[in-house]
Amino acid sequence: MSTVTIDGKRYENDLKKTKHILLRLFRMVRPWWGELTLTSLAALLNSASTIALAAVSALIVGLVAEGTDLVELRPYLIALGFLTILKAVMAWAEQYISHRIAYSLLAMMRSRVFEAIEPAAPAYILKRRSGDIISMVMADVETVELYFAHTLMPTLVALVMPLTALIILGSLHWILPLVLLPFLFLVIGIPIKMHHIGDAIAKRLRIEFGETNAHMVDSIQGLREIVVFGRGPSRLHEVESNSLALTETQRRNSRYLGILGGLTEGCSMIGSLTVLVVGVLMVGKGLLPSHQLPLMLLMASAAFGPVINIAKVAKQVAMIMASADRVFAVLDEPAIVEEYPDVKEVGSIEPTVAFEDVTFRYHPDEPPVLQNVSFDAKAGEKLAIVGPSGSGKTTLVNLLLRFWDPQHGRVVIGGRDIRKLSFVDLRNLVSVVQQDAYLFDTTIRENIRIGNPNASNADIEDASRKAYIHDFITSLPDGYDTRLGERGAKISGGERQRISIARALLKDAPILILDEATSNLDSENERMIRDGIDNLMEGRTTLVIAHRLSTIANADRVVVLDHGRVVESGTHADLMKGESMYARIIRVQRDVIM
Amino acid sequence: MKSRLRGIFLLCGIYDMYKYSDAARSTISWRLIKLARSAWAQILLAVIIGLGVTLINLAQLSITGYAIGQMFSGADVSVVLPLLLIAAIMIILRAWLTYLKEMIAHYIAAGIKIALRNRIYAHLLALGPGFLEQRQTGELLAAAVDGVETLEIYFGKYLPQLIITLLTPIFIFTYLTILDWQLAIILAIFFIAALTMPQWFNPSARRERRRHWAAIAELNSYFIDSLQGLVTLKAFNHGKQRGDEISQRATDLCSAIMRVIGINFAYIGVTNLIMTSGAAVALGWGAVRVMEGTLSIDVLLIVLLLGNEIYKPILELNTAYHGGLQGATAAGGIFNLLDTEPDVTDTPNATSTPPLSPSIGFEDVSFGYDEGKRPALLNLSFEINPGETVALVGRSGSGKTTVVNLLLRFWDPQHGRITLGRRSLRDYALDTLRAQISVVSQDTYLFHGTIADNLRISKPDATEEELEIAARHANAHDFIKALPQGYNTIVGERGTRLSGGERQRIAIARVLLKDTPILLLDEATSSVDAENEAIIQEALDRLKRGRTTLVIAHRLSTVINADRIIVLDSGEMVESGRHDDLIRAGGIYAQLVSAQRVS
Repeated sequence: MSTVTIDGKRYENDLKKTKHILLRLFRMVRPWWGELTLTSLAALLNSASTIALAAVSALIVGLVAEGTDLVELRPYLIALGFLTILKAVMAWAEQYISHRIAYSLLAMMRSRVFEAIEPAAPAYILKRRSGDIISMVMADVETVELYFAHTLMPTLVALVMPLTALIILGSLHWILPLVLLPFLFLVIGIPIKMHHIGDAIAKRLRIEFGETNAHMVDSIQGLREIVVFGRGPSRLHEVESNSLALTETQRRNSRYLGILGGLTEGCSMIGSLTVLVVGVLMVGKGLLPSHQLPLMLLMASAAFGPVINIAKVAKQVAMIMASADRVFAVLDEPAIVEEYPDVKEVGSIEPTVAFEDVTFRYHPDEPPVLQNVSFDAKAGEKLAIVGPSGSGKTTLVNLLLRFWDPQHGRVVIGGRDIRKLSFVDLRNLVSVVQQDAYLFDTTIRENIRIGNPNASNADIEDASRKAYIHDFITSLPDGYDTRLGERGAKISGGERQRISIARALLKDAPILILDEATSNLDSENERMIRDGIDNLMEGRTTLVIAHRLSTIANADRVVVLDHGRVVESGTHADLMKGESMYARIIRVQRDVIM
Repeated sequence: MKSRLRGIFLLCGIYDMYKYSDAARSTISWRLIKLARSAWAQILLAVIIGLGVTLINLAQLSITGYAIGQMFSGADVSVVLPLLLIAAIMIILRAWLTYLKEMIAHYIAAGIKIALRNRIYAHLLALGPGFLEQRQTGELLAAAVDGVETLEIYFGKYLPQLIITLLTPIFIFTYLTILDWQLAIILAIFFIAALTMPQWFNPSARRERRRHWAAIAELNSYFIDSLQGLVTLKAFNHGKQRGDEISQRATDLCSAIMRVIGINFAYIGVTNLIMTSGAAVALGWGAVRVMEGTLSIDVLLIVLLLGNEIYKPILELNTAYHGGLQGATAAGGIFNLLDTEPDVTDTPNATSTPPLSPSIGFEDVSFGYDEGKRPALLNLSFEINPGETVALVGRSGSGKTTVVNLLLRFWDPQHGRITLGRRSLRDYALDTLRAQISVVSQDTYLFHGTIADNLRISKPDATEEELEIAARHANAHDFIKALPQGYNTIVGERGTRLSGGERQRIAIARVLLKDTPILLLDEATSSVDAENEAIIQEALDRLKRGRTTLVIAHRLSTVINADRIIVLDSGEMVESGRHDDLIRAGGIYAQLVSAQRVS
């Protein structure tokens, strides 16, 4: 039993794993059974007409060699023409239909991938780079296309055509197929035997490719540092030695491919030739008529064609396996939090927030990020949360939005454990406003509409006014239709935050979480943001992750977090008495001029 | 910004370059060939081997055909078998040549890869960080990484293949004409038809390919957008809707590619039909002629065996064309890059002697990043004497970072000059200049490697002791030691993530190791982060001692202790002096300081 490693996971029996994945892929074709049958039919007819074409051609030559007349020849000539057209049509049909199946399936797969990631986020995304996820969605799923469009049918053809050829050979004389069989096995067997060598080299190649590329990425992203520290020449030298190491592995790969290619090609042609030699010997002894010789040679050659294709297919299987494995891993990803089946309808809920003895860690091996955290915010209250970076403030937000569940304790809104609320209801209750709010690759209008998909354009403008961003938007040439996001207009941090405020205003949720900006903004932006936030906070229960002195001082109450624990809490005036952590924080903050 | 993904830029980049290459393909070809200068001999060898394979194939088929013909005329087996033995030897020879072809392709590719990657990276170094900041990293990576790979395949496989398939028909048809000129003509007619008729599909093929690219890019970027903003989507209960929209785009992509495939397969199907018909017609007509006695059976046998071999060059030409297109596209991007002249280079008289004294001067400097946009700096003049600490203060966008970039000579000012030790920056070699200055900025890039590696960037031959001393002075030693692998902890994008404060302290340690006379410091922005701040402040104070320092200041304590303060507004200096004087003056500075304070 050999082990194989696919992307770091070992499988005890690679054959079993291969079969499992291939079978699972096959089952996905179920909605397209009909088309699959059609394309199989086309593939079979294609193979049959290819063989028939070869046979008829050979027979024509044989007949003519023996001496025949036009009348006898004519049906063969007509068959020749007919088969030519039939083969072309069937070949086209097989390719087209199988690709249609494949690509429809891919579309479904990509959609399913997103549906699988959505409930598992942000936990799923946290441990991964989005580049890897995208590569999986686009490239890996695309590789799986190979299975549907380039594996199933060729495999079918590779079984049918050689079989037909062997049967025809056998009808001439039983010894001919026997002569052919060893060569057939060689051509099939050599790639199989050698494939683990090829696999090992291919894996090595993939790794080295990845490292060379990562090194290049690093060298470009860190170019500023390299230049400033004068490390240019040495980095260049590293680039060169990486390339050299890579080419060495590529040489081994080429050698492997070259040997494999040469061997299989040689074997197949020698095999056909051997059948011919045997045929010649038998004609010499008078056991067979000479006009069958062309037929023998052509049938023998026809047997090998698809079999050589199978070697190519086998190579693809390794790639398909790796890709399919990654895709299935996502599809099977369990959600971190689940909705409970007996979810009650939310009536009207009082917008109070409470954390009751919450302890939470992201990962069982990691230390807890929050420990026995308890605090509460009454309806309409403004609570400031303060503490050094890494003290757990962002985690509070994650738990309140129920992206994770605490291991101990509970988060409560309006007296209800949020686990008893549906996701939709919960997230309708809470808005988050941040400076680095994510702006989507669409228009400003649509970006704001995210707050409430049912909002009208008038609602959106109204919210923008209250967020003091309306004037800025209308000052742009395309106004609300200006595209934002990665390929769109670049806007400043302050403007981004005001859009975030507009979104929250549009959503109009009773509980607000405000993640204050940390970087400095010019006073105009500052003022507008402050006013917008004031508009937003009216009548809402607000939790502010505070960085500005003014915010902290104006809050109703302050909660001080340090290393995941609540160390102090009270009003600003109370906390300033004496030498507390809070007082220290305030003193540092006072030092800041912008 | 650093986490931007290659994928979408690669696709958009290639899509854009596709349009460019379509128009300029003729001009690029010659230059493209010259890129492979070093590999010409090997490419020639690959072509010769390829042709050799074809010739041996022809010979082998002919001998086999002849042998069968002999059997028809009743020759003795002992005459025919040696012929077949020769055919067998030829087969083995051909297999060996196939292997050689693969190896030659590799050596060509390897040579190209090494030469080109070096050239590209060296050029990027010359272009400098100034150029880099104006571009998307993804674009550059597409050229430096994927572009080079594409070109390897282009020169290793496709170019030789192209030449071979252009020459092969000459051999084949010459041979056929010798055998029987009439059949040769028939086959030639179908050959030309197979070559030309499918070209009719080209305009629609191009159009559909473009739409396909667009659909890929659309789905790609939409998906990325959805992933990056997934938390926002979930928080606003927008997840399901987004899923539907992705489903829609995925289906669009399917339709787009099916249209491309429809045309491709029609193209292929027509080509195949013509080829098979050609073989059939030649065979049929040849058979009739053998019956009539105007053609020898041997020739007919050879035609039968040659069959589709004749048309193989056409199929290979199609594949080669695609490879060629990709190669030209990739080359377009690379040439774009190599053609860009660096804005800043060593002047001919640049000196390597370090400045006598670490003083800095800006003399009436004006600079703008883009023509026609507002200048980032306008008539800026100030001086920093050796050992002084000068604080630069101003709102975001006032030009502070630009001052740093110009001092490091990532750009040259359009007007005025910058001096170091009373000599213009341009008089110094770039290496010498940068050896005088250290920078601690807000976001520190850590390379993939150990912490020790990252520290050694400033002084490659530093001993472990020196590293530790620097780390201690930077208040970094303690947290480094607390990590499981200590100084050998792997950091960088794929390594352990360090907090902003920890990264900054590593940056401080680096600078301490480099020990330059001039220091440029970009202070961390405010965060109510008592513990970290105090530690970092202490380390920074240690750093500033004895160096000429320019600080982009955010802290009251910094400006109060600075020898001088320069206040920038929209690229111009509006005030300068010591803290107390400026407060008394009651200008912009006084406003900035009082705005944030809460009594």
